[in-house]
Amino acid sequence: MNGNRKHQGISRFEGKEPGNKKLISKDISERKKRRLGGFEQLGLFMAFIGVFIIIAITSHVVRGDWVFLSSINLFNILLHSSMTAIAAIGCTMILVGGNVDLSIGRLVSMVGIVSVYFANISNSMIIGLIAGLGVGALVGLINGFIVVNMRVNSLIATLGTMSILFGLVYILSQARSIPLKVHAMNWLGTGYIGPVPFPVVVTFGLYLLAYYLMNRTTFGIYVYATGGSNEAAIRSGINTDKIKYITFIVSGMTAALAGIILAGRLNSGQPRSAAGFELEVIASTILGGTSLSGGEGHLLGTIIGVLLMGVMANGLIIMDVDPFWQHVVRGIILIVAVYFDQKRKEIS
Amino acid sequence: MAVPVVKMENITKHFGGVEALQSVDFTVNPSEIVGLVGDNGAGKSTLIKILSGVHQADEGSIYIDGERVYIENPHKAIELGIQTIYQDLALVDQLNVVRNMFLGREFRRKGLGGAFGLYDSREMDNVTADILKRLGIRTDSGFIRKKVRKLSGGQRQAVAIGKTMIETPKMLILDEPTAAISVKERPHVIELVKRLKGQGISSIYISHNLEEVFQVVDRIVILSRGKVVGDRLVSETTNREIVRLIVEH
Repeated sequence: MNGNRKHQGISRFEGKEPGNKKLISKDISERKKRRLGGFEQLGLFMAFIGVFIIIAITSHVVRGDWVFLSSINLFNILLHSSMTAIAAIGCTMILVGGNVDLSIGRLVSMVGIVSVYFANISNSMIIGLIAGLGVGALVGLINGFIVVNMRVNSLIATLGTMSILFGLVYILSQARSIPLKVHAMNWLGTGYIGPVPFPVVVTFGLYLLAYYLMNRTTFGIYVYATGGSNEAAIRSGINTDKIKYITFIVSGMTAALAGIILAGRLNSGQPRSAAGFELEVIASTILGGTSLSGGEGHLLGTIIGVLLMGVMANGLIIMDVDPFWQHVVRGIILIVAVYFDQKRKEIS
Repeated sequence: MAVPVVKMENITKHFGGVEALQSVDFTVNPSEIVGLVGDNGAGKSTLIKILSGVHQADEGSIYIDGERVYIENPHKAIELGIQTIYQDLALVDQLNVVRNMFLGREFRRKGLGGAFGLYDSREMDNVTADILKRLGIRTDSGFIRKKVRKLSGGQRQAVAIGKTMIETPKMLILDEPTAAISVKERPHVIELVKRLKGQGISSIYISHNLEEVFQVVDRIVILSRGKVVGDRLVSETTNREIVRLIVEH
């Protein structure tokens, strides 16, 4: 970064200590800057604003109205993004911890079916919620076992569980959607608190919690350390296996919560729901600056990445573009995001 | 003479049929830097691994400050005040200096927050700055918040050493501490080890570079094929004699 780095090493001259007090206070002010996410997230945020403005103007040109900017549409974007955003919490943690979880998409439909089924037979939202989250935790535990204990690469391990879940979803549901009979669970996906959709409120709360977990607790440091250098983390006395297990379980449970909310919105458990969901979540997370190679990432970037994707998808819809173009755009964004991630690493 | 910080007596270690160490005696005195030299396969790293708890000796005994100890695992070694500097393996590139220094030993906040795992950033910053100052490292603005990846080899080594200083150790084991460091920065690391000696911390210094060993250490122990073949004070030997001892046995 600077040319005279070499001279900042170890002072050869005893007693020539620089004024440390002053420097610490400078460090603290710099820390405050970083607390707000640093410059990396600022760049991403500017990109988000840019895309937002471009879509607003383009959609105005195409449609001749300002529907994109209407509060209904903006809340719609937030609502639509909330499921991706929730699952992206788990995705960020797992990527920072040095793994990847591809099973979340199929898990969402599995959880939809299981939670609707249990809510229906017990006529209780709570039972449905517990069953859904339980399935999420269980799948996370299994993924963790395969990766940690069986030492299978997480990409392959979760590709396997993804396929298993895909099959099981169709076997259990007999390829039919299960209508939801419990109104309270429907509300989880469609309810409002004031003008704000309930899933958006949940998302906001979870991000606050996850932000503190990742950036203020020792657990957060250990996740970064595990993904950054497993070896160094172990030598520092960190139980990295435990950390990996936890990230898989969190990933499973956040996907499960997204699945429950989706089932509430669809008012049913649908085997075909959430097609390509894992890709949307992973692409948003990587777009948000989380590295595929572990040890780096920030939830603030993730949420901006999710919103950027959400705005783009919404823009395409209101401009009447064939919805399948979303998949094309998403794929391109994923590749470009990874490309820039690699470039950035080469530079540093 | 003062009680040695570390005294290894009659250490023998087999790996299968191979005798890696044969009745090795090895001591380190207070505020002493001992160089450990020898060819590849002479037994240097086996001896060090026994001291740092990675391996256990088949025979022999270890005394720390005159007291018999059993070092069953690396954790025990650290507890006893023996810290090994693992080159690059000790640091997480993506974390900053403070996070690396305290990794696994973070200060928790007092009260409820600490119970939930919240750490005390300010206190860790202050201790880090203190340690770096003690090691004579210039903490220019933002240094302690810099990601370790952005540091030079010498700075990384300093952070790795600083990491061991949170609870002042009795002794450091430095295994090829300058191997991954530019020639320009090597004097800084040597300076740092000497500075620690001045603070009463002994070191075992392992290096292939004899010239460097002569600059740093007080005494040189030469290993060859699992045996101690020489033990010389630097002031009473020459580079040539050490080379002869390494090669001849």
